[in-house]
Amino acid sequence: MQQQAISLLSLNELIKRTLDSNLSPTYWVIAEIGELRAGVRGHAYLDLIEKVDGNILAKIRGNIWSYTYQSISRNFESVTGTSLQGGMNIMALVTVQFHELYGISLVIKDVDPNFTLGERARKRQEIIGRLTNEGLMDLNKQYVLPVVSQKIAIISSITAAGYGDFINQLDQNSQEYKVHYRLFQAAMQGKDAIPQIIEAIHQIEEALIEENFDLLVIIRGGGAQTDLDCFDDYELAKTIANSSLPIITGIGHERDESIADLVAHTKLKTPTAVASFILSGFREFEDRLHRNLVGIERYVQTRLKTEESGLTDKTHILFNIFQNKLNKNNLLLDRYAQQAKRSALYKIDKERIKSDHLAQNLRKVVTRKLNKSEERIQQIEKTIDRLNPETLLLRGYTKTEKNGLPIHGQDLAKGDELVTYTKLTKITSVINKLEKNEKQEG
Amino acid sequence: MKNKKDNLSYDEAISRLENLVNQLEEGEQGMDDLTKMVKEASDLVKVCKQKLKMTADEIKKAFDEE
Repeated sequence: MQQQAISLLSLNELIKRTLDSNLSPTYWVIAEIGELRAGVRGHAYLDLIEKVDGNILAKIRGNIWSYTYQSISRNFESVTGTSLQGGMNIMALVTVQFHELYGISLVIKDVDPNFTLGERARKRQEIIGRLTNEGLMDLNKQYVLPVVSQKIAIISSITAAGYGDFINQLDQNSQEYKVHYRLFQAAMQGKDAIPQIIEAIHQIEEALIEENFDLLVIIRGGGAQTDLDCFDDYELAKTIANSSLPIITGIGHERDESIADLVAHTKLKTPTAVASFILSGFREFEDRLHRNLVGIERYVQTRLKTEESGLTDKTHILFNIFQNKLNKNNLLLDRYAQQAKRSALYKIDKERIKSDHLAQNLRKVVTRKLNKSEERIQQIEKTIDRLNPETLLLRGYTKTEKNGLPIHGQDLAKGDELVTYTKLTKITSVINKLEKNEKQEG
Repeated sequence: MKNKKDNLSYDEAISRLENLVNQLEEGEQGMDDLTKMVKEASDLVKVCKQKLKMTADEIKKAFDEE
């Protein structure tokens, strides 16, 4: 049987009428946003899909008219902190629309952000659970951060404002610390972010053979607080956890920590916070050096003082010892001197007594001799006196001479002339008679 | 003559004196010589006495100075 053919337009009008009469005006649909494109007049065009194990089981075009899109976006972002984008599971209030020229599509009237929020939280919790089970959550935290990180590998986008801030802060630090760094570029948002960041981490691992990086930093910032879902990705988190370097994140978002933050060694809010953290390591090290130097200086000063005072004490002790010795020796010398003096005086006294004795003896001898001499002289004087003719003459004796010599001892004869001396006269006589003197005989 | 006597030492003086005394003892001289000798001996006695006195004074002085 041959059916009567109708025009395409008639068919499409039939489909439209059938749909309009059979479908409810609106449905709440759960689907994933396959792709979202912004249109010229502010409308948004998107594909809604449903996947199981990566296979797309259902797909339909959709659009959000400009006015509705503004309202939905505002509400969605305010609740979820992120914008509507591809790969996101949403629950949308839709109206099925069929257009004779453009075919079937969905007009999205509203999107429930709480569903996405819950969905994301569930997904996030699932990833965290998996990472925990695989022992990846704290793997990177096992590295000990270098005290001073001088060589840093950076993963960021060269155009990102956060990167510029980070570099400026490192290069223009007031202490003039020199920090070496090398940028490994990667998109930090959007669908390319995950593979590019993972690739950058691999590049750094390879570069480690030649360059000894101390640290890896993943920074992003200054942009909108949207498009951060990439940092909740399992593969990225796994790569971060397995890195050979400790990783610091400075992803720059205000909401809950991303999974990348959780698995990284240290998470900081912004790139400038990361730069400050790195520089603070330098500062702390320098402070510690300074403190050690001060400590050493203080110790040396104290030690010097102790030694100096010890030396002074020893000098005093030594001085006292010498002084005592000196005093003792002085006393000894004094004693010797006294002894010597006493001995000398004793000897002198002895000699004096001896000499006195000798002197007395001498005096005695001399006096005796003198007396003897005097006696002799007196004797002589007496003898002279006795022999003095004057004395004899005075006493009435006379002296007779013959030829000028005493008559005794001369031969006398009659007629000899004699001279006789008296006190007052000289008598010349002649011998008349010679007789013997009877009185003198016998 | 007087000077000569003064210049004599005590020993010379006493020796001369003793010589004179011996001569006088022998009594071999005439009256004039005898008188001269007595005179000389008396002088010598004076000289000797003077010298002894001086010596005694000096000894006294010397010992008492100590």
